[in-house]
Amino acid sequence: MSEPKHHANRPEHALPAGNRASLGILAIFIIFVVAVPKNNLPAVIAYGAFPLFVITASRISLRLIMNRLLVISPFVLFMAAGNLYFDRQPIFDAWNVSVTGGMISAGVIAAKSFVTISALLVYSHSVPFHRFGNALRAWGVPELFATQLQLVYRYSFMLGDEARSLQKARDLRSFGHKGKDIRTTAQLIGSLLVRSSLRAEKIYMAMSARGFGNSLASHQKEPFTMRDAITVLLTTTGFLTVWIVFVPKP
Amino acid sequence: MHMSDALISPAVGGAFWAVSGGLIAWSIKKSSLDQDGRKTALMGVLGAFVFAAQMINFTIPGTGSSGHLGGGLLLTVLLGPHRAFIALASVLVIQSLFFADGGLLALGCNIFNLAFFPAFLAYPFLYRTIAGNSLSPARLGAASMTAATAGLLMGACFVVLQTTVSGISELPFGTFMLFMLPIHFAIGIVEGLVTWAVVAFVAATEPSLLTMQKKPENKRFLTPAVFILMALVTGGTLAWFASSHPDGLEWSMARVSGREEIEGRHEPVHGMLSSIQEKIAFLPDYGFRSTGDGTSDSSDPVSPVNPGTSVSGIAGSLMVLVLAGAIGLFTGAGRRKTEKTGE
Amino acid sequence: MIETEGLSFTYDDGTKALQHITLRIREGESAGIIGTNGAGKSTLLNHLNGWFTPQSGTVTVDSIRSTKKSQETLRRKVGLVFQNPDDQLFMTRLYDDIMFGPDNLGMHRKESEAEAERLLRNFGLWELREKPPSKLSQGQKRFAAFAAVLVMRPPILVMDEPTSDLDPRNRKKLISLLRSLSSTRITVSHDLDFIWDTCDRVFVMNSGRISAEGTTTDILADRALLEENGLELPIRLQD
Repeated sequence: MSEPKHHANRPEHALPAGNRASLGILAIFIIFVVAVPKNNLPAVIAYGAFPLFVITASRISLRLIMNRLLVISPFVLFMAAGNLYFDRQPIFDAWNVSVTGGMISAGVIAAKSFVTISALLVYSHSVPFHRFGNALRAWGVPELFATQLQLVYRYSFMLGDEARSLQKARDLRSFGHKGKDIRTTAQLIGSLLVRSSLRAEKIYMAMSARGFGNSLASHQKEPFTMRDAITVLLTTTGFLTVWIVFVPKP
Repeated sequence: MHMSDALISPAVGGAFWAVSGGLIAWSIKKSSLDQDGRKTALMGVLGAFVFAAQMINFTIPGTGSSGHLGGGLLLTVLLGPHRAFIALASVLVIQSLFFADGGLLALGCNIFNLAFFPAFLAYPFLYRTIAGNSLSPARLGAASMTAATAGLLMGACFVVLQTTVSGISELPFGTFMLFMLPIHFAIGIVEGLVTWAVVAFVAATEPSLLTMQKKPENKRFLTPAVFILMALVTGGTLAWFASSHPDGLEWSMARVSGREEIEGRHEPVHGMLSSIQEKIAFLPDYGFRSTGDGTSDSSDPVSPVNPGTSVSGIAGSLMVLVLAGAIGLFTGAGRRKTEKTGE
Repeated sequence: MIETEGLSFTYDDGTKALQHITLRIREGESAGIIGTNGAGKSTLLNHLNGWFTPQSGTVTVDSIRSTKKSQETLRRKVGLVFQNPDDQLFMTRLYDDIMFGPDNLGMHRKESEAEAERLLRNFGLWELREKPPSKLSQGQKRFAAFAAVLVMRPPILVMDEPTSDLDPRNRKKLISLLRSLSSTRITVSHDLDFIWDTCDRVFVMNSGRISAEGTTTDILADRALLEENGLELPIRLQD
């Protein structure tokens, strides 16, 4: 498992906003979507236009996004099903089908899930990880945590490859129901753990040899420019407009 | 157990962001004291290890389905609570932002549910108390099973609380709990078994990895652990047998006024506060809310077992623990600051 | 016998790893697969033991077509020795790692124990059988990985870079071991001298295709052919 292509370096112009602003816009967008009342499906669908717009404008592969969206969290499905079952009060009829409150709220749960996941995927497809790290530092996240994120990200793919190799080694000598039990797998995991720890020691030696002092920050502080401010303002105004139009006052 | 943004409200998401953010900041402060670059590298790589280990699946006996290691308790055993919390939080951040596994607004909830309980409750109060410094398989096994199960159950409880308080779900609280808890109990058992087996493997091959932390100071966690356990057992089971007779105040009022409760005055403030209390009391009268048809989905009238009472007892105990702990930390920090500036 | 017919494979990211691969390896033969990095050698190997099933074309091992259903059957026939023995050995005790495969295969315990002992003694690892594999030297791990596969008595043995990390003495030992085996063997290696010493036939891969095949001496002595495919003559043939 090598680092996904979409996590590699992207051109600077992938998004009109800088790193800090992009993260801020993502957060603001998600708050708006999450705040939509539980029975207001049109508002959620309207908000869905934003990630769709960014996907189109940034020429991100829609297929990749759709493939991920199809894998719906069982927990979300369970909650939506719960609403369907417990709220059977009819709200209106459509094409001879009685639409209940549960159907609407279940639809809202599913729609919110799609829209928020799309937004996260759009972000991850547009912003390379090192820029995300810079954005966090610029927002004042402690250096230790930002360094942590970088190390975890950097080594997760490599260790992921090793994990897959180990699993393959186990599977190639497992037949029928034998070989994939907890005890065997735990030894596999333990093996990976020991190797990871020993590797961490080597990584630290390599980093120390090049002056590592608890931080992987190598950037200059990124200013929050006027362009960033305007982008954030415009997008927030857009989200607010959708809110005003689609979410009736109580 | 990763929660999606679709299942929480901004208020709940924001509140847990604040709590988790505070815990991360505190953990960073504690971890930064020793300025050990080696441990920083280890935290990062072990965080990546958890990611990778979650890809390895195993067959769950008797079910035919497969599972994978969560890793929260294991990481805490290796790194200690503060560093493990940071490592787990970083894994959850990356899972959320770069793999869309778990929401962004829900990240605070996910960090709390999946990292706080194993790192700061299950490990110090259960795992360390039971296992101590021993590498004996029996003690490691008991410690892993107990701590993993407890950690997952506490996390599952909070998933239900967060979802219910958010008001997104129509699922009755009791039904939700009764669904989540047995499943997460079973998951906890499996997590405990895997953690035990991995720790045993490491104990056999690279025992130095298990002795990286300070030794516990003479059972100082035993007393709190015992009391916590007593509180949970009392709230969760003994409360079924509580007397239904009026207490002293109610008895006195009944003797004087003929009623156990006096009706309040119908003033706007009383009405407003009463309405707020009604809305936020998700366990009114230490039980589940009545369903629409006036019946409650709690217990069989013959049996003393009352799920609503159990849930109220356990939820209440945990909330008091967290609140008292937070107050203690806050006042303790203030006192230490005063002592420092007084020097 | 192993046959592939028009085998093609493309990874999810669009990399065309194999393009219309057609080859035939007879029973008892020892074949080498050589090529530059990224030529598709490992991807081809992963098809031969059923780890990957063909996206187009066919793979047949001893008359069994490679499909999702026949994967386990193919694994019983084809033993794969990994390039990195650390990926192959994961148990707490070396002896348990060796016995892992036979136990899962349901082989007769006493027979597999006897075979495990024979192999471990042959490789000089019997005294180390109680040790964790992680504590062995690189050469010891390499032979332990071989033992872990050979103990299952696969009729076909596939090896991925078997001499990487081996010192000259252990390399010689491995050559000797392989010459003593009667199973069909397929070796992927950059070590062309090793291929010269252990293989009867050689397939040259380039950009996912078989660009040449022939006897070992014909292929490995052809400087122009090798250079055309990004390779060099074996060290023994260089000036």
